[in-house]
Amino acid sequence: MTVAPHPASFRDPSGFIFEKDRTFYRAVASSYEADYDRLMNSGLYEALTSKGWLIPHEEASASGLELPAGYNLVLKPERIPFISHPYEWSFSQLKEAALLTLDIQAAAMEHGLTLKDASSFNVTWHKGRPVFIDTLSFTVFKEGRPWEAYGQFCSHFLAPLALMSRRDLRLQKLMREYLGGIPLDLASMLLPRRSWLSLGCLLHIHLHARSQKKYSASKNKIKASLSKKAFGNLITGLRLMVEGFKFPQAVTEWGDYYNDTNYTSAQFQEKREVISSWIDEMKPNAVCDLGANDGTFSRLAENTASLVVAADIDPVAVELNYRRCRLDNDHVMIPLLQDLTQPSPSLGWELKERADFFSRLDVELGLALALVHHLAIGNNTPLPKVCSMLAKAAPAWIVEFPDKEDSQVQRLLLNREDIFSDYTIEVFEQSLNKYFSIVKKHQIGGSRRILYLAVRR
Amino acid sequence: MARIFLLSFFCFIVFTTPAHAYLDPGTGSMILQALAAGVVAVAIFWRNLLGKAKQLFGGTGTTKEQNEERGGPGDS
Repeated sequence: MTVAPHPASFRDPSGFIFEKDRTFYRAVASSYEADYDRLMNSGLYEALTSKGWLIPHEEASASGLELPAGYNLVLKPERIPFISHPYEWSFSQLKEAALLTLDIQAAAMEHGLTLKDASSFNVTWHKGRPVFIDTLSFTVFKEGRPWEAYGQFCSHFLAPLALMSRRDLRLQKLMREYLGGIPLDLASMLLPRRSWLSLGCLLHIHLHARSQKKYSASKNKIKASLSKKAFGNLITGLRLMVEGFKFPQAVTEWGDYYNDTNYTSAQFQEKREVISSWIDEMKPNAVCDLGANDGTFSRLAENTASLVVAADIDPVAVELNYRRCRLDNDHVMIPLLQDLTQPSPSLGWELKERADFFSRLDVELGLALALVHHLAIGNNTPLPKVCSMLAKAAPAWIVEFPDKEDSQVQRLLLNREDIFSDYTIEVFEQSLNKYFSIVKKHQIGGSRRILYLAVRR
Repeated sequence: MARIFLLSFFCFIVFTTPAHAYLDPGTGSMILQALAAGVVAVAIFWRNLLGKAKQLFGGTGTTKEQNEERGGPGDS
């Protein structure tokens, strides 16, 4: 049986990704081997991997693998335990991924190579940093040829960053809808008029969009040329533009979360201690924290786990979490934007190119703190359904249940009719018991909140 | 000089009738790159000039070397 390419790996004739025995490999086409050798022998591979910019790989033996005709070389890249997508990152993560791409292009040019494509999917988050994963994206640099990846860089990186920074953070969702990059004419139309005064937006988005439209039906192959110096200027200009994108001062309901909760400092400390001790007992290697906010409790798992996926609905919270990760030089946490009522879906060709959030998640323990009431009351989700979701997502949970008298729950019900007669501790414990054994239970002193350690049967 | 060029290109591009955007957008990107590279060259020239002028007159402009020291992604 010839190895089957991964469903997302079909666009590049240079090679394809396949999976065998739960390991990912990259098969390299013979036609591409010359470029691969250049990457390895020019010093570029060494330069990029030593900085942690490119995912390192080993050359694997092709024996025992039935490769299709025209493939003789197999690479085994370093394993990435959790792939995250650009539409799931915080603003600063996306910005750094853009800068990484440009820096890699600049480094490539110094070694006589260039990037064929600048898709944001070439980058993922790994050990706390953005890392370029498309090893076969390099080709020989031919002076005079324009950068064929330029259009893609603009629609994959510049358009979303400009829209998020100058219009609204929520426009990041467009990245999910436009996997091929946000169309520049759409970005141009959505950006505020003031953006025409920014040289970067003017050139790379507004004029670029119009240039694309104007020449879209052109029947003649034009001969455009770009000297190496001009190319370098282009990269410099793009870098300045990306660096100039600032996080907008958006105020959301979660930004000041931890100043606005109903815990006394003693209760907060108690919660931390209980959760820490339960995590230490479970000794998980990988943890997810759903509704992680700025990662305050997610960090408790870093003593034991080598991977912590901290997912939250609020882009400001995820951004704060990421900034804290950078300050701490955190190699364990991946801050992620995720709306649990509508998590990242399967996308792309035959809905197999970009896997949905839950199928990528492979953890031993989950944290669901101060979350259940938002799902149950904020989203009208019955408690049994909440527990069913948790059971599918991870084999064990530390979950917090605030009962209806809790002041934060009362806040959610303030101007609503209380239709939640089934929102009770009894119903919650029954729902948990359907899928899990409740191994531990702890009521936080003086509060209406109970912590549970639940292990899936 | 580059500004005049930019302005005329600007008018040329902005006031065109839209064609079919779903067809080949590759050409437009190629053309714009060349323009963008040219404009950036001028912008960098002016920036450096202003930076040197500031230094001369007692300011503390950041030089290219200082920018490079700040490092990029991947630096711990």
